[in-house]
Amino acid sequence: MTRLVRAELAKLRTVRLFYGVAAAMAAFGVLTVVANVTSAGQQGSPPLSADDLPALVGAPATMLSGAALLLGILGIAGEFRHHTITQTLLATPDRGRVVAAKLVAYALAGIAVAALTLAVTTSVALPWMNAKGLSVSVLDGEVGHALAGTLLVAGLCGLVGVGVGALVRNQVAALVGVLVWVVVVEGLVLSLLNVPGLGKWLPSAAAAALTNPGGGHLSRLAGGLLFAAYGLAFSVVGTRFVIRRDIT
Amino acid sequence: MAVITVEELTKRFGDLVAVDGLSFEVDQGTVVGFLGPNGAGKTTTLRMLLGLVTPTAGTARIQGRPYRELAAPLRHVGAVLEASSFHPGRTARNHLRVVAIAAGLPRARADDVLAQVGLDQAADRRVGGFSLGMRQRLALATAMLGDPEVLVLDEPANGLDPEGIHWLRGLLRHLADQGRTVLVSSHVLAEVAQTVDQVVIIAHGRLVTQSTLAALDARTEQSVRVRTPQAEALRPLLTAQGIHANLAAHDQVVAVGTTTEAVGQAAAAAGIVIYEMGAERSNLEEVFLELTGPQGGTS
Repeated sequence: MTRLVRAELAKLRTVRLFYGVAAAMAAFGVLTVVANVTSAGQQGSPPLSADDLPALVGAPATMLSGAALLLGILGIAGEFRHHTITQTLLATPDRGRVVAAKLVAYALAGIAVAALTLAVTTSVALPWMNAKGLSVSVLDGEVGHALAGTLLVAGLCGLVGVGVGALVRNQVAALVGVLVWVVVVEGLVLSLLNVPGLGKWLPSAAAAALTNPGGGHLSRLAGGLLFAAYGLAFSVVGTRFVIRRDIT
Repeated sequence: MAVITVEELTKRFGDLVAVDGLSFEVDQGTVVGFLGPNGAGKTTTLRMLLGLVTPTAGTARIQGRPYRELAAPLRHVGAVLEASSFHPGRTARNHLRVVAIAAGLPRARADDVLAQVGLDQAADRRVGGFSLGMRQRLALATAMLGDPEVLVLDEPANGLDPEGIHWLRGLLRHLADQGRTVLVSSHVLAEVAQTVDQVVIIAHGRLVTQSTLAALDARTEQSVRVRTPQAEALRPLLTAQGIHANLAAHDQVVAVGTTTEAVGQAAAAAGIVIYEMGAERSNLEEVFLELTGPQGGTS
């Protein structure tokens, strides 16, 4: 199994997509820090305080989730797109093991991209705030929570992306499907249905609980477990009914 | 000893029967041409053999086991399937390294096989910029990565230029000389006729014949082509003498399995005028076409 995870990581490392996503996320992270720090105290917004650090370093969490989902989806649907799935299955005929290796590999990939981005945002935000005379430290409990929550949600998004890709092996359909789900179903339809209490059990709300507990979300632990369960359920169903189909 | 055993293999796609109760065996150390026209079911058969397509019925085994049950498949079987199964953004060397990692093979194998197929100069180029011939070479390199005893090649000559086809023949011969078993498909007999020991010919998903190339060669027949203004009269005359004859044109008769002497005698006896007559020998390709044509599949 380690061998297969290594092979999946090698696939990721040997195409430009991964580096492009990582670079874009790091750049986006820096931008959010710069925008937040420079706009604080302007035009009626509250001035920057030491308590803002967790929100500042954790700001790219949503974008990172999207990036990790994208990597996970392309990690499996891309193999069908480029027909590389044939070679993958010739080397490893057990399709369940292939999907399992991808789950692990893309969880790691999501964590790696998040770790890089957070390292960049933290190393920009921290000295900047210290320079402004605010005494902040990464050892602050809330900062630790924000960092850990972001790493975790990015990792789980990589895993869920693989699940979605296994379920919808066409990459465009999978990406559009995720967008429609998050924006239309969980966003619009849910508010129209007006069933209080349902929303927090759906995938993107469960993911949001990791970085933003409270506000009607589940606890961090429950949200994380539920989101991971979604990813595994998609993978099992996808492997059983979609990935198992003939490769022609 | 049979290395590849296909038994009563059947695949239906909805109403279409792609492979229909196909059985054949490939013995160890032989090079077998798997032949049939486009759409005969060759690719589907090979994909079932490699565990990519699930048979509707029947079995396909390599070294006694279904492909999916081989412990380290790439060490036993190397396969070339469609030419474009590469990520366009990955280099040739990295493509091979990824496969080597997944199969638990040493990294250095990537460079070994690149040299073997003559792609060492292109090792660090992205596959997206490769010509069809280069992709086919890379596919062959991938097949040889695990140094397998068995090679399954689906139309490996597709996209190769004449020089490439010449090279491929040499490679197949070389692999066979090392005692490997090769099953190579083609829709053109001539492409593989110089390389294979045996042929398995299929049409419409069914086995037409499995024989040695020599036995197939023995089926080539002499025929006599006659140009005469009385073609309509000559044909029944020959038929009456037990000679199989067809009208090839309004003034031409082709008599199969006979000699110019026999046809000349028969024509003279009936006072039929002959303008032109010549003996022809059908070639392997014609035998192949006859076997796989609309009326084929009976032997």
